Amino acid sequence: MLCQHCGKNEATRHYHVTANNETQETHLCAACAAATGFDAEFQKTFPAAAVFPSFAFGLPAAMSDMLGPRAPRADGGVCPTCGTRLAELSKTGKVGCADCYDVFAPALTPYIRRLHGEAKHTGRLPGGAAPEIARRREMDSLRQQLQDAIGEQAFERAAELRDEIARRQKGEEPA
Amino acid sequence: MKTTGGQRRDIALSARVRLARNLKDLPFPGRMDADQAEQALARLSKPLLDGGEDGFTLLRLDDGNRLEARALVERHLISPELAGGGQPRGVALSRDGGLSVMIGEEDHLRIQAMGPGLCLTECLREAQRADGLIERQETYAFDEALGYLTACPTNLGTGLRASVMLHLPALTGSGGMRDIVAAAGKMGLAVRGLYGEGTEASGALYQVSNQITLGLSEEEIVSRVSDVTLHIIAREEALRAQYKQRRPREYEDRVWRALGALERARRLSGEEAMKLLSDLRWGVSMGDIALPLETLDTLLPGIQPGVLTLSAARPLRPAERDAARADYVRETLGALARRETK
Ligand SMILES: [Zn+2]
Ligand SMILES: [Zn+2]
Repeated sequence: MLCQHCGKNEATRHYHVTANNETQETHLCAACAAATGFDAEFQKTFPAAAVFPSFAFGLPAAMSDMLGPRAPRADGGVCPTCGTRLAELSKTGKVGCADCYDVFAPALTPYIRRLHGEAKHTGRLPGGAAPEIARRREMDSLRQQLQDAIGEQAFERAAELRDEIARRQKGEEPA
Repeated sequence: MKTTGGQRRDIALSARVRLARNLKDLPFPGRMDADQAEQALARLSKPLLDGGEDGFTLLRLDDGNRLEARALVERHLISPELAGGGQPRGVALSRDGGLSVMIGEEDHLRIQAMGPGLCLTECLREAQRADGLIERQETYAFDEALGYLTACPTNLGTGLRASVMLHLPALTGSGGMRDIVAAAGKMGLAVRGLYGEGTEASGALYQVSNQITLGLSEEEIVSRVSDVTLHIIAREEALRAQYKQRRPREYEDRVWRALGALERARRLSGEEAMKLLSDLRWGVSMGDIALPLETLDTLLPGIQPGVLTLSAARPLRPAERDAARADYVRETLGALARRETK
């Protein structure tokens, strides 16, 4: 989601302000949050707020509010594994099985994004899948470092990273 | 739990970490038939009961044993949803009460670890240990990007809810809770009254917990909840000092009057007992009244209706319950006083 103020940066601060039974949502990048005074109000209450960057989300609105208007037609949407219908899902906010996350991905993805932001799981991994996923996370991190190094014109470092990535892709141990 | 308890027990009563997990090969509880629910209960309790060292016992909650279930809810060992009965379901409790594993709630598994004081790090370690016991034998529903798959998308990712129970009489009295709730909300944390309805917290007891479960590591979530909790505690502490300094007689009257009433009353409604206990706890946690905080905190679940009825082992009318509540409080405090004079 882009910042509503500058329209350029990713919005990392999400405010829900309730007045007269209406909740107003505001999504800002960190710079605009500071510039518009949204953060100042907050820091009066928590002076150390600045130490928690991009950890600012309000309560999720009811799922039905979010899914309702843009949900695909419910009649075709049934999970073959558990029989949950899209209409039930948008009413209860609960999926019926693990496969529902694939079946209803088009409806669920925007909802999940609004709950948790553009986030990917970075926590614990189950034993079986852990080594493979951990390896992939490391590769992602190396590629990111490579991009950064190129951006900073640190070409010596970039060359090292490129070799490291190549080595790992061939399945060799790190040098 | 093998912990001596966390910091700041004067204001933080207890902490809890909950992990939500589901089996990969069964529909989630809302979509299970009775056979599948029975299977989930057997498969998920087995690794815990085999574990040995924690001394887990399994309590079934689908057989209409509503009173016991209600008492477990009031002691915060299970959720009201699990107590509701229906499909085969149950809770595995460790011998020392530090681990409570709900099976067949909204998710197949809700692993909870709790302890006194601000001890979220220890709770996380314990919950993950129990998680590991089960995971050695079963495969969880998991997605690389979404993390542990849960019935409700609000729990995706880590499936982790970290919460702390706080006693905030000065913030409540000064009207400062509104700001705390709003500020915590912007930090992705929820602050709710623990007993009572809506924003009116009975006994000035609140729960602080994370709302976001995806995109942060377990350790990050726990440290953020701990950090914000410490800020709230600092605020409460400042307001308490201010109140005591500006209105010393009012403060003293309040906390000592509460002790007098609790020691002598013959009838206590739930609401009145919560208010008096809150005032007394304030005086005790400030070091002005010499009573052990731990005992005071055991009174809290003890005065709830379900626990009282369970102790009486028969149904109680409201007037009888108020009498039983007063007796229970008086006797507990009396036993403390006797120990003190010895
Ligand atoms: Zn901006
Ligand atoms: Zn499904």
